[in-house]
Amino acid sequence: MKGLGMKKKGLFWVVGILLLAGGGAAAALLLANRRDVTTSSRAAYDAYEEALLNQHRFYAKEARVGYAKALELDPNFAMAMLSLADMTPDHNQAVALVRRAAKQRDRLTERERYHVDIAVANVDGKADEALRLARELHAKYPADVVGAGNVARAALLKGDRDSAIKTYEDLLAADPNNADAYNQIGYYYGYRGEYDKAIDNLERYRFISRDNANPFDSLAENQANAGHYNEAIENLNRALAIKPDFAPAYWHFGVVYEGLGQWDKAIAAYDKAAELADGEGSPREYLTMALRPALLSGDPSKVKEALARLQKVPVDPKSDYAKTQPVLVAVVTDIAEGHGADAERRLREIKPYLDQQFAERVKAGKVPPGVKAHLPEWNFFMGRALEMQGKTDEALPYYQANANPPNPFYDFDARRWIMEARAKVAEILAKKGDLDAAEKLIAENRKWNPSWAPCRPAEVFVAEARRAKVLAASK
Amino acid sequence: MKETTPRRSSSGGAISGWILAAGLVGLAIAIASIADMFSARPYDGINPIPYGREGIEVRDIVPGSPAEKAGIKAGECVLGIGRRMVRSSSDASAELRRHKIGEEVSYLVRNAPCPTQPRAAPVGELRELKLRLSSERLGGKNYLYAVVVGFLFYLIGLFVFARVPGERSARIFFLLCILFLLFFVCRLRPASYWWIDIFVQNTGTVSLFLLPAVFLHFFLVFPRAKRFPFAKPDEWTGEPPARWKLKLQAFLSTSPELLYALYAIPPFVFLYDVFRQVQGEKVTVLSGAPLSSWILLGDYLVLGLLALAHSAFTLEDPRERRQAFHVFVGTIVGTVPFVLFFVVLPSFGIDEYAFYGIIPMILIPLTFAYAIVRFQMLNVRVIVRRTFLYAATTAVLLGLYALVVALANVVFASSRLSASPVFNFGFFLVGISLFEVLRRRLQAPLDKLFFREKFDYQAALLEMSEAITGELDLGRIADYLTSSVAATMRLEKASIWLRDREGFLERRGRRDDRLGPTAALRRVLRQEGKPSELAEISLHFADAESEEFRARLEEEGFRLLVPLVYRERLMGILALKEKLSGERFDREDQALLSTLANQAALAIETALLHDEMTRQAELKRDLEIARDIQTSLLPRGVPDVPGFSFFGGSIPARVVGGDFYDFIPFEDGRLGVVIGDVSGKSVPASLLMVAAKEIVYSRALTTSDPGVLFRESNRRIYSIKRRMFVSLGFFLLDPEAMVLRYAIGGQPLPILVRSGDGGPCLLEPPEHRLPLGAFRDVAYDTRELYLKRGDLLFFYTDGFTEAMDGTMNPYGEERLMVSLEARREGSLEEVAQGVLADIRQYVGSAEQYDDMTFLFLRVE
Repeated sequence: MKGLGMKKKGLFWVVGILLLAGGGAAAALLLANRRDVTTSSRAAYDAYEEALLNQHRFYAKEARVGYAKALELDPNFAMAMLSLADMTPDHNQAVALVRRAAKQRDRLTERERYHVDIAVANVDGKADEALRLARELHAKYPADVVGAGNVARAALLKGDRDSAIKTYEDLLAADPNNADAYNQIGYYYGYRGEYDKAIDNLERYRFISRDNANPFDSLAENQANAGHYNEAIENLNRALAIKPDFAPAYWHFGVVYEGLGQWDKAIAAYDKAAELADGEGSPREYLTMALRPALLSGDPSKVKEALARLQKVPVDPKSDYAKTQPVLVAVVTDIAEGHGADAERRLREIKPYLDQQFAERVKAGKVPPGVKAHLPEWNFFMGRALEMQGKTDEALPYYQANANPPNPFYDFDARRWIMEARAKVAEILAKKGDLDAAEKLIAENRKWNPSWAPCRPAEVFVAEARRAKVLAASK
Repeated sequence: MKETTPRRSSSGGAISGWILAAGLVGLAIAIASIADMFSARPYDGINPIPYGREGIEVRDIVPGSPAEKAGIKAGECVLGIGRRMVRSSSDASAELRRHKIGEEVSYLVRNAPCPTQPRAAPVGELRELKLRLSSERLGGKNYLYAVVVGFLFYLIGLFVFARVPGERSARIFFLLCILFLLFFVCRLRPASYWWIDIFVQNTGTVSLFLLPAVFLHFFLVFPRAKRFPFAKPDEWTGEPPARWKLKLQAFLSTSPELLYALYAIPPFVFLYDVFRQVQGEKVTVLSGAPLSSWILLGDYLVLGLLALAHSAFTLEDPRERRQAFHVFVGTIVGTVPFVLFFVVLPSFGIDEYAFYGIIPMILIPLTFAYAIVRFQMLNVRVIVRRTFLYAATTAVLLGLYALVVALANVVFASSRLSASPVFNFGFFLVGISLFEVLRRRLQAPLDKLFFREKFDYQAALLEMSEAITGELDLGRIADYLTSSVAATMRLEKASIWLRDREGFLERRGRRDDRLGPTAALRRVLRQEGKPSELAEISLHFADAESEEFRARLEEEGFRLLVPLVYRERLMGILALKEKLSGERFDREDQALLSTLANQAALAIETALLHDEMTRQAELKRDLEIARDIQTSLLPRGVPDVPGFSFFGGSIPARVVGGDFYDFIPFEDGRLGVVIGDVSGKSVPASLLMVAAKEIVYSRALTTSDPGVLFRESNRRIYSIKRRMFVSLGFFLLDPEAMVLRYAIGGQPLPILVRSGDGGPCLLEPPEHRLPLGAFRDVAYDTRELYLKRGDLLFFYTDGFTEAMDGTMNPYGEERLMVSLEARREGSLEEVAQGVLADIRQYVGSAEQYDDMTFLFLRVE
């Protein structure tokens, strides 16, 4: 019996060791061959990985080329299709790519299937479905950027920045070296005015990202929007040292110079950005941004030049811009030249179209649920047009609409609209004698950026008014 | 209580197995830690505070390290290494492993402590620094010292455990030593950033909160389990103690519950501190562990020392007291500095002297080693192999030599001597010659100090050898052997079987306990020629006597048989019972016994020879005495009887013979002639001869009738000694009547050679001729012979007729008569000589079988 027991024991040992060895070998094999995307081509995978890296760096052109190459090497590479769809400015091409990717669904991993389903839902205008799928994806794969990004954006759109931050922090818990997460968290803190936390996260983003211009650009954007212009300029220079044709850097130079009140430099920066634009923003957007410093400069010729450059950008006749751009150009010209009434008229004429456009987008499911219609540019121009006509009281609601938008803002551009609107409201209130309210609004602005040049006239006015009041009171 | 017999129950064996497994695991971890510490790796010089979650907080920076050069300071928070965020030491270690020694790596550092919460507001500034990773080994001299101390503990503990695995205190001692090893090797080390670091450090931490409890546990059971008998009946009233007192006494007297509590407290305290740390509370940390754990360690050490002190001063057995005292001294000298420098001072924030607390701890394992060797602590024999200790001594001497050479170089550096190539060589020669002398001289004191028992053994061996070499008394040799071996080896008992003259091995003191010459056991032992376990030789033979002998020995409790063999002869067997300590007989014991056996066998052989020689000498002396007696009783001359001539003589076969003849003169002129032959030889025969003669003499005084004389003498001789009888012939010569009257009892018939032409003839035999003393009553009768002139009578004993030649043919009466006839004309002496010559010629070289006594009577 003892002998048999010894034999059994030996057998168990042998079997156990064999199992262990086999398991180890299998694991090794699996791990060696494991990829996180489905593709039959090693070369395609390498191209995809490089393109992904470029995309995360916001090197849009390089990323697009990379994805295209990956698709060329593996025409059935679903993830490359989705990524290219995400980056292409051509909507129809994007939709076609998404549909092509959907055809590969059955051979994809569960995570890839989620990506495809989310893209299809978005293309089909099913925002709710896309969000639901994104939440599922994020719950199962916390380190997945697509899932986290969708969930965070949805939260952001609802104004729930805490949830948005937490979503990315969950991602970081699973993948502490996810650069995108630090970038996003940094921006979210930046939007809230929590400058130190924003910079902290962006510094980590910068530290992780090797040879990447975007972290410096992200830092600079946050610094510029917080009034730290010197640091912003330093970082933008570093970004351009890494990638001299990095358009966003010039765009944020524009923001810096706007903040400093150096309108000409701002215009030039925006123009440069438009020249280099390759995906992160478009030439039209940058040239449109240039209109503001042009207007703020008070020099109609600069406005004219800016408009002329904008008009050189080709417009697709079928797009909305074909209808709205001429109106924009005319309104801006009117305001620059002091024709407030004309501007008001044009604005009122185009309003129904704009409302209709929004309604159609809502209907088409292209607007996230709960998002209300809000046209900050229209409000701004309307307010200016009325102000120019001396209709300050009538202008006030439009400024207030911008100062208190119905939807939470989710980028610095939107925040700047709020700031400038607050400044305008403050100025009007000050004129009306409500200095407390005016100062409160100014103080709110300062929490975000204590020295934003477009707001300075209003700040000065309010300060002067207060001084005068104090002086008057002391007499 | 004898607690040293390592009887292994199955559970005891399992426990020992687990403890050994723990020892092996501990050793593996320690080796991994050492390998980790001494292998070159990319290193930045940062000593982190472990258990952080939001970055690596810098506890301190190694001076001169890359971190210091880069400007990182203690209290700062490292967030990223090499383009990767790090949240813990394991992240950092994984990241450093990706880089190479000498590579420049980026570090993201905040100039403020790491946040305790994930979303806490950042404090301080972030900066990116470049560090060029160095290749330093983490283990320095201090760590090396700690490793040495740790391994000393381990090796001593392992040896003790291996010797007596069933002994509870040995098990605990080994566990203690494992924990000390883990404490020194795994706890007192910096973080390494390698994957094994967390594993090793956590093991070290586990040792930190197990060590105090095991330390205290050990001294609660060493050398005796502590008892606190404070619950006693009232002295005055006799009232029994309160129940709570009894319960408390039971609890404190090394109860299992007390031990559970002792073991539970340190980990509980440790985990509580970790919990507080995780909650964000500030916890004072020393060497990576909460200060409270160190304080608790100190408390337990103090309690352990108190327990040891209690043993050192209160144990009854002086040997145990000595053990405990020595251990106490060493432990207290090793422990107090530790408590002071590693626990007390850091409690007040002074931790720069912490390492000085570690240095004296080396005394603890050394003290234990000394106590084990010197006093057989934990019932363990000499542990240090001769080669090891001697090698250590040699190494120390070599070190001294090297030091002297170095000093000499310094001293003579400026002189011209040092420039000479002969200088070093000469120094070398001097050194070597002194070195060897020193080494040999140290050997004896080392033996005496460390190998006390071996020293005792050698001394015992020498003493025994001297004692038995000059001893010739077998009994004394045997007694000395058994008592000395039993005393030296501390045996229950030893017994010896010695060879006797008949070849039996007879037990000393018990003559009925013997082993026959043909027993197979003897052959086996003789062939083995060395000490053998009784159990091992049981299978080698099958004869009943050997089996019975073996069984008897086993029953009595004997364990080892030592054959005493000299020149292939088994002179004896020394049987040993087991040692009082219960230990087995090891090689050294067997070597001692083998040597002793050889000495003893030689001594026994010598004693036996001496015994034989003495016996021979005594025998010779006896024979000489008997011969003297006999010689003194033979007549010095022949009587002067006119007309008759006599000539007689006696030639004994050995030194002492049994024959005689004598003359008994009567007042009336008659002459009695007695010739006799006593059965047997040597002194008893001679004495009987004397007695017989005296009896005949005394009877002859009352009667002259030979027959009557013999009847009466026969009764008397019969009553003296039965089974010894006398052959006698009594011849009464009446010279006047020329008559010879005679009675014969057992003697050969005398030969008559008549004068004239008649040939020799035998005398007429009486009717009853039995030897005297054979039977109680014999009716001896008397014959008569009328003599003539010229008659020659030859009285003789049977040695003449029974003289044998080489082919065992007797000489016989015929030849005797022929011989007489041939010489009848010569003088009596010539006749005698001639007959004897004829007999000598007949027997040739054959040994004389019997005495030859004769008497010639010639009628002139």
